[in-house]
Amino acid sequence: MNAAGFQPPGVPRPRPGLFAGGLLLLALTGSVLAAPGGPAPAGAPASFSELFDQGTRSYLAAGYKQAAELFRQAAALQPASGVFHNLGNAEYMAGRVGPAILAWERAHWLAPYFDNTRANLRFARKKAQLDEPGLAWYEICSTWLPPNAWPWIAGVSLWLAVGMVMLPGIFHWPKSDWHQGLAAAGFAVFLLTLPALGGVISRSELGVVLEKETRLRLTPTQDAQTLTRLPAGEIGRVERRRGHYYYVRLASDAAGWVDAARFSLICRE
Amino acid sequence: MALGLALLVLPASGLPPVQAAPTNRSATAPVPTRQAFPRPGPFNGFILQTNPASRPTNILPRPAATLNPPIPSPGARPPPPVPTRPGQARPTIQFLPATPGAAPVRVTPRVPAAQPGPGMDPLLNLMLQQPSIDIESPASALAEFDPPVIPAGGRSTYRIVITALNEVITVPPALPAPSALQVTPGGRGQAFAMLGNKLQPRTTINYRVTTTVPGNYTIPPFAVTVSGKQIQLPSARLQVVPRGAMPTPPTPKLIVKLPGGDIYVGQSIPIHVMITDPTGSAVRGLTRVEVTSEGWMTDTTFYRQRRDSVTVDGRSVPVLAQEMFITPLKAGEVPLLVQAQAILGLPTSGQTVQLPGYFPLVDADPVVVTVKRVPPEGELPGFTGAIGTFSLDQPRLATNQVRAGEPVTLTLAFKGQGNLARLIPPRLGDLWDWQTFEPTSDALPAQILQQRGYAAFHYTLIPLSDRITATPPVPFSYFDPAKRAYVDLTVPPVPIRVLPAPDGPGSLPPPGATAVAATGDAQDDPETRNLVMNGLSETPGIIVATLLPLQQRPWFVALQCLPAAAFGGLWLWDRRRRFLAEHPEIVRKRRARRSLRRHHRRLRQAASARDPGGFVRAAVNAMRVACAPHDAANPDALVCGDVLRTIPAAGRDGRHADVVRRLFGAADSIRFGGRALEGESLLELRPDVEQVLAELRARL
Repeated sequence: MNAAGFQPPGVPRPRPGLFAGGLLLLALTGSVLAAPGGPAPAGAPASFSELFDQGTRSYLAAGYKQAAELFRQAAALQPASGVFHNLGNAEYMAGRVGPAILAWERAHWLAPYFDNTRANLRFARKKAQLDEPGLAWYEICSTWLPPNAWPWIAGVSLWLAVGMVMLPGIFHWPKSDWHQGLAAAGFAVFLLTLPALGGVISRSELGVVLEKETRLRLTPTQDAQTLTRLPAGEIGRVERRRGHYYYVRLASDAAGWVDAARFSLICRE
Repeated sequence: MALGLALLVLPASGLPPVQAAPTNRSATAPVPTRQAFPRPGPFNGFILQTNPASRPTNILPRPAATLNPPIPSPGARPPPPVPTRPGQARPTIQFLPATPGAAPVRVTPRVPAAQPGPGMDPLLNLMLQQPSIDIESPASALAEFDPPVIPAGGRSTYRIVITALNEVITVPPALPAPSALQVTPGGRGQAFAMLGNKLQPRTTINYRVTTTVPGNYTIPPFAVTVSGKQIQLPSARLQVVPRGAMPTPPTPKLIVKLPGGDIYVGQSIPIHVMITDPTGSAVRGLTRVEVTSEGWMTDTTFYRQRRDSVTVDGRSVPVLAQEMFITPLKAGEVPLLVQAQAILGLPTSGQTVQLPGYFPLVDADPVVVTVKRVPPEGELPGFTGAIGTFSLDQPRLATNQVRAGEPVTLTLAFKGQGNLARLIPPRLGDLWDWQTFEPTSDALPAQILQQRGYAAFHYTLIPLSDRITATPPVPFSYFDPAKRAYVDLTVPPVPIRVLPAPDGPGSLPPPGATAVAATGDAQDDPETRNLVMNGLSETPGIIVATLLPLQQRPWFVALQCLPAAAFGGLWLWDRRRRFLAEHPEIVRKRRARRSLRRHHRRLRQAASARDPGGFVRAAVNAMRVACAPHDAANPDALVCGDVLRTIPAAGRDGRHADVVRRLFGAADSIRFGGRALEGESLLELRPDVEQVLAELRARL
């Protein structure tokens, strides 16, 4: 039966069982692909947890450099917000402000609602007299949730809205208000996530100066004129890349080339 | 003029006396004197000790009140004042007699031709008035054995003295010495003697000579190169007597005495450099004591000289000993070579070098010292390289009550045996409740610190919270060479009362947040006010595969294609379904073609099996399903006439019509009679049936 309740003779009716199976297969595929971190390597979790525990013990025993190394290895195995938070603590206690702020920024990137990481970032910046990174409004919106939540929300809401528009007509479901309500809500959520999606992409170009006295150069060459020297932990936005140099713009709107070895993007290891 | 004279340079305008040697000390600084004892004989000059390698001269620290006291001369008139312009200080050289009662002699140097202007820098003025170094006069060379007579197996010094700068002298690598003599290089040094108004450079080169074969040995004259010119050294003669044959007169000998125990890199070691004085009056002094071998750093800021006695070859010998500090710079077997210039009152027997104001250069036998490194095992927190034995006085706080945010000074005083002057203060790390600064030490000269006996460090601390009840502990440790272990000397916390800050709550933000805390808005913000670093996360938290955002990963983009493809397929399928609903003949013809293929297959099977009944039923059914779509009828309801009407007009009256009629007739016979009347002859109609079916299929 179509939407008007008329079923032409000889027209085969859709088989709900087959379609439901297809949807289930799609959902299963999506759920597998959506699993955090994808399939973990065999044996990695044990080693990861061991590294995490050993790093914690070393930190508590004031072995900050060793703790930082252990947390760094754990983060290389499986990036995790708690590991980056602890790595930042160990780096800071070892006197390395730049890597500490980078680690905390990564922890904040993964878990923006973790108050301890936010407090540590604020503490380190105040201590080192660094400016907070200047974020646009859509970038601030993107910090309300983990960056990976926004694409999922956008994808689910979009396809839910599309489905609610298409499926009743295709399957001759009786017309219902909740179909249209769900479709409208899905589209609304999708539209609301667009700025956050843009903010996540924009924030992915932020990076941290790792070493103190890092030179901001006029050109991407080793002998270039030094515009200024950047403190460790300074946040910059990468606008271009050329060889081993990033063209970064700072919160003070100063821009120049920075050696890639002394500057690390937050969301790229 | 058997007098010891002290050399002073006195500004004639009444300023305190300053030292004559080139120095960068200010005229008002308390500068000790250096005593020079010229050799007896006709006096035609005096010795002026210099410091060519920027090495600070060995200075005896004395209180400022006793420095350069004007020596009274009873019965003698004071020298008339030197006329000077107002504001200008002209140096005066004053010779102080060693014998009490003798009058001091003041000499005003000749003013150089380039008279400085009144506005010239006083330091430059003083430099211009310094005597020049005589490098134009022809160099003279002398050579001697000291002592000239030694027993077999004893040691003598072959000494070369050349009146030229050290840098311009080139000596042959091998001396033309007899083969029985074992000659090894010894010390080498340079001094200046003032002759007239010029400084004469004198370079001394020592060789250690020994042999076990008695006899008379002569080093013949040979040439050395001075500023590219050859000058001839005179011959020198050494007499070696059998051991015990005749007593050789004892001569001054330089001895180095090291402390017992292990020696570590960086440790400040007190050593005693002693010169024997066999007669008790031959040695007047010891100057320019220096370590010439590599791997040692000499502490020139502090030394002491005293007369003592040591046991040499079983008998007590008076010595003039100088205590000084050296620091090994590398580990391993490090040779220690020490040399000095001896100020002698009387010439030693056989000494041939009779230059006016000549002080012989003496060097000690080389000593190989085993230097170790401090072990890395067991190193305690707060180790800043202190090696020795130290103790800590009670830490002192400037006040025991302070407001949060106000500075307070903590003073630590370390005593002990070690190089207190070079002690590095322990540092305080980053503290959450305290703002700390780099510790400072007393700005006193090293010799004053060494004399005082302790090193004090001042820590400026700012409490950031009124919850503080004591100062932070200051980790400090040192390495004790005697115990061969690190010793913890951590400074304990000192009780202190911290009052709340006057304008805010008791807790202040750390140093970096001071500016924020100063504003009212920031103080109202509890997060800013309690700005501290939080502890560790107990769990790994959110685990991801990569930090890259999902929308920048290819698999996520590909995943979005799946629902898009699904919905697109559904849409296309719905469109097709609706099209077929509007055109049902398409569906009927598709079904007819499918049924026709099925009945055609059965027809061929029946023909192959020689089954007339099956052949007839299959052929009739095939014709019915092929004709049914044209009439939108049920195939089972069609009869022979319906099929004949569907056949093209050209074939309705021909053979094809007959075939159709025969097949439908046979089918009726089978249906109602139970068998086909024509039997197997019907199977011969197969080619015609195929043609009819082909025509019907073409119309579908």
